Amino acid sequence: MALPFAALCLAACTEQISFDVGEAEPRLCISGYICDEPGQYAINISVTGAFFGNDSLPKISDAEVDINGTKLLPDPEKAGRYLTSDDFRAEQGGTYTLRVLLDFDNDGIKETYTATATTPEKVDLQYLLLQKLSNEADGPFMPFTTLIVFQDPKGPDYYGVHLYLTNAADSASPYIRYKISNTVSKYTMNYFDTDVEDGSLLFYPAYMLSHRILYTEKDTLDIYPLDTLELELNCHSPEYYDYLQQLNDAASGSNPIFATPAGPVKGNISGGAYGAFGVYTVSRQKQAVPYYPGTWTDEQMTKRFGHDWRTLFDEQTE
Amino acid sequence: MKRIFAILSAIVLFASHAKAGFVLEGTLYGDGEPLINAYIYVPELQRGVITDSDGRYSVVFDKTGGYTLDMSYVGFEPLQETVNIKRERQRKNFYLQQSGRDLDEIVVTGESGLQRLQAPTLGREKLTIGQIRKLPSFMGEVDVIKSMQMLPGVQSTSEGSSSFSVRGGAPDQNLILLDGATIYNASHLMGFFSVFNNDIIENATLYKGDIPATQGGRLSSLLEIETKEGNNEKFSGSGGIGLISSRLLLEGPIVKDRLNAWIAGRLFYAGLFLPLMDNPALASTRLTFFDINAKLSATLNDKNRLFFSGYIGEDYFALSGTGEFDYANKAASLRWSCIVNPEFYINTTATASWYDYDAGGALSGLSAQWRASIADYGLRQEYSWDIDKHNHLKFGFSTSYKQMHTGDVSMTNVGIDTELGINLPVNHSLESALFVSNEQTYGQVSLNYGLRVSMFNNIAPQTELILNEHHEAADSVRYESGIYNTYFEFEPRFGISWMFYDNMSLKAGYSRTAQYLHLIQTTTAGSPLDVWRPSNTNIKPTVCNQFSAGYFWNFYKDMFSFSVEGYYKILQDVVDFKDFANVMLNKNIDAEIVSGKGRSYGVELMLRKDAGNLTGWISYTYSRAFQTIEGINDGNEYSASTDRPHSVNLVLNYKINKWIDVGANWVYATGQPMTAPESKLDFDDFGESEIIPLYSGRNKYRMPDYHRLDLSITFDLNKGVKKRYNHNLNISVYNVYCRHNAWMIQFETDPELGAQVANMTYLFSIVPSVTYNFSF
Repeated sequence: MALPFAALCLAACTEQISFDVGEAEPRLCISGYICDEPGQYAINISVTGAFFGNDSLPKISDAEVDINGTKLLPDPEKAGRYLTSDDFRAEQGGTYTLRVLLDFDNDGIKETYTATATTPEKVDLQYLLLQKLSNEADGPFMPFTTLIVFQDPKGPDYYGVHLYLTNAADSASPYIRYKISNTVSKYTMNYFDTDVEDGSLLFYPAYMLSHRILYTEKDTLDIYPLDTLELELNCHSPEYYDYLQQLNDAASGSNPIFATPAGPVKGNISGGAYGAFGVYTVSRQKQAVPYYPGTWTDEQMTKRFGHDWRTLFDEQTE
Repeated sequence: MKRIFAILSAIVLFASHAKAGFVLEGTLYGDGEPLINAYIYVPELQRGVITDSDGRYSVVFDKTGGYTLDMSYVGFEPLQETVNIKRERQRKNFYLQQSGRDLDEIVVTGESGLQRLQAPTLGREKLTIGQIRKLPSFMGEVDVIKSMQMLPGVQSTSEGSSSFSVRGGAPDQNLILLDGATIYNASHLMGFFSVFNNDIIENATLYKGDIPATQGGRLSSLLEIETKEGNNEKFSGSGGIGLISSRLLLEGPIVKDRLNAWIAGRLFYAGLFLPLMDNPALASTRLTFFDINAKLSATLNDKNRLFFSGYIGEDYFALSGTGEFDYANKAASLRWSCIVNPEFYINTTATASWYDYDAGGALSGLSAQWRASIADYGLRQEYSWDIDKHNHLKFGFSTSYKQMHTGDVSMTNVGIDTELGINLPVNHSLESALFVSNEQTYGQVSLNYGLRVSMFNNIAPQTELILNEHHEAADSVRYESGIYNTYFEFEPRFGISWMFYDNMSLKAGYSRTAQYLHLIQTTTAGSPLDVWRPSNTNIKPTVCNQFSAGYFWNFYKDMFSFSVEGYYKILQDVVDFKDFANVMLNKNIDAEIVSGKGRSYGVELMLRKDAGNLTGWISYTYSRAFQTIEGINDGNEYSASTDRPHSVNLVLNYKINKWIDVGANWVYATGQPMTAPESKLDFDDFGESEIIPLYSGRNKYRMPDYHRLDLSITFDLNKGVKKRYNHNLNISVYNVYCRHNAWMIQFETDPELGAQVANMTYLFSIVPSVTYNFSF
């Protein structure tokens, strides 16, 4: 859809300009989440800074932080980070209040910043299906989709998905988290959708994958047969979901191409700080990548599985 | 309804209190074609009349006797004739001869200086094709909308765009009519060209302020494009050959003096050169557009004429191996013009407009297709009644059925088609109006007053959202049949002109306009994928009250004119998006649209030289536009995206000799408002640090100021002598001093510096072009 714009951009020129936005007042930023799986969770506290330039943003390490009265301790390895115990776990339906005490304005009196979130209903991910999109060998373009199947609960839902890859041949890279969050939009799956009835069994194509994943701006990782894909479905508390959405939109910038107006980011932290505190539930499914003839070249398969690779996949090839 | 009819009747009665005198009527022709908007002045009456869209005129005299008629039209020799008025009704046609010279150098606007002084209408601008062709062109393509953007109070919304803003109004507040049919997307190639082939245009009239009561549905402006009527006398043609596009028009009589036709085509073929580009992505790109216009004019008898006008235009774009994209406008109008008697005319027009786009891509068997369309079928009947020499009454009705299909996306080859498809609802609506207006003169005072009563109906089947107090979707309600929602608006219009001196006048006007359709823009630059959203149970119609006043002065033997116009607009239920709205293919789009108040005001100064070898104008516009909407900018007033406080337009044409013309445009405008990041935060995204920009309030900052100089030179290859075959060569240079005007600014992290920076994208440096134009 963005093709004409793409051509315009190809023909257009870009130059760096100086853009004067004045000096913005530093503001406190508090963000973090907990989830229904036992683990150690973090609350991060930092200070906003001027947009232009590469000055690092100050971290706050002298705050008092607790969740429902349980104190979080500063992470000795990372400034501005406060950790729960190793086995912290959000209970189903539980309500959690984050409280931060800090003298941010240096007036000798500690201000209190709070946020409350309730654990959303857990949604069981029933299946993860990998489906080949084409029988053609078209090279490194989206040859298969990861289709997730789950029962949509009644009421509004705020989903996020993460994809993990366990790479069978590279033990040094046990997994790479494919960095996309919240691709399941509340707008396309909301509860009064007339086409998808609330409470129905949903089939949702979470990711379109090629055999090459771009997982950072520079690095890629190849997916091969027998690799394991693990898909994690998160149900977020609404306030944190909204915050994540705003951050995603803000990060996508002021590009006029298919962008809507940016604005100030709003979260659920009281007391004038940026940020949000949330709770989410987790459900997972795994699936091994099948061998799709024509997707990988002979050279690729040989490099990964050796010259006898065909014997490994004889049955699937037939 | 009784109240409506009572008000409309009162206006009719008020206007019709006097009796008619002695009427002279007929048609004014030039080169075989009726001349639209030609001026006929009667010195003995100290007033003039303008020919209508069929070239007809009607002059009412108090008493019998000899009178002089001074007739003038751009490109034709002025004609002075004496008529002897003896009977209550007389009929006489007049024929102007095409000027041996190129008369375009003599007058730069479509209206005479006297017309501009007398007309009780503020903010009306007319351009003839002769004037438009004199302006420097972009890529060799003369363009009516680009020419309009050189007028005070009219701004291009972005570099090179056909989308425009009038007096601080949004681009969707402009009603664009081609022979009465609405054009929903007037742009080709993402806006770099308009859909109007200059060969087919007779007149272009832009109403920036007092939109006549006969028209409505948009808040800011009315741009009426009238196509030429065709030549009743001889076969002829015209066209142009450019580096990237060419055009051809052929016209002539089919049955002499009874039936004539013309057909015109334009083809953009710059895509043929793309394979020669070094950039592989550009080399594999396919890019083209075409337009075809045609018109058939039939004279059934002395009193009845029929006109059929049709247009089809399409853009096609493809990036090899990735996808393709096309969009098309189609429009048709059938008009029956009937003279009941010399004082009473009826024009009945049936129109149809279609706009659709189709974007698709295929990647390794995954095929996605996005289709959307608009269909608009209209009928209007307009009665014109010259009650007497002082009153010219118009009344009638219009209705149009609109079907807006905001989009279907289908994906195939994934095995789960139904779950992947997105089907947005089709909106059905009916927009109707009753209107009446009268143009009345009392000595040196001219009045124009009228009322338009508009009605808008939403038609089922439709599902409408129910929004909660946070303006979020909470539930929905399904309407299965019939009209489920109706809006009414009373739209009075009033204008007064007082010619307090021979060459000076003061004018004032008030207009109230209502708009029931809203453009959902997915880009700030304007895109064919923008969709129209009708008012409904959640989105109220936007209403604008505009007050305006002006002073007009012609001086130095009418060679110069000066005008200053001021306006103030108050808008109700103006719409905008929430911050971070989700607008693409969103079924619940109503939850993303919020409404509030708006206001805009400004002053437009213009000094123009209408005659002599040097013609042109310089204008300065001060224009502000603000909105206050709950949920945006913390509920505080903010600059609308069309808020451009200062703009200057300089347009000059100089005739060096009989065969060489040079032209220059210089444009300056304050930069477009934009939202920019003021600070940043460090977000810990599952252990990874990510810098997130924190944006200011809406439109707090601005892009750099815009300015540009264009130059052109035109060589008349017949060296100033009119022949059977006339031709000229135009060389234009767009953006002569290579200004890098911002098209967009992105705020990004420089991967090498690791620092946040602002990157400005500009589209054009210097763009030269050559076009060979001909006519025979």
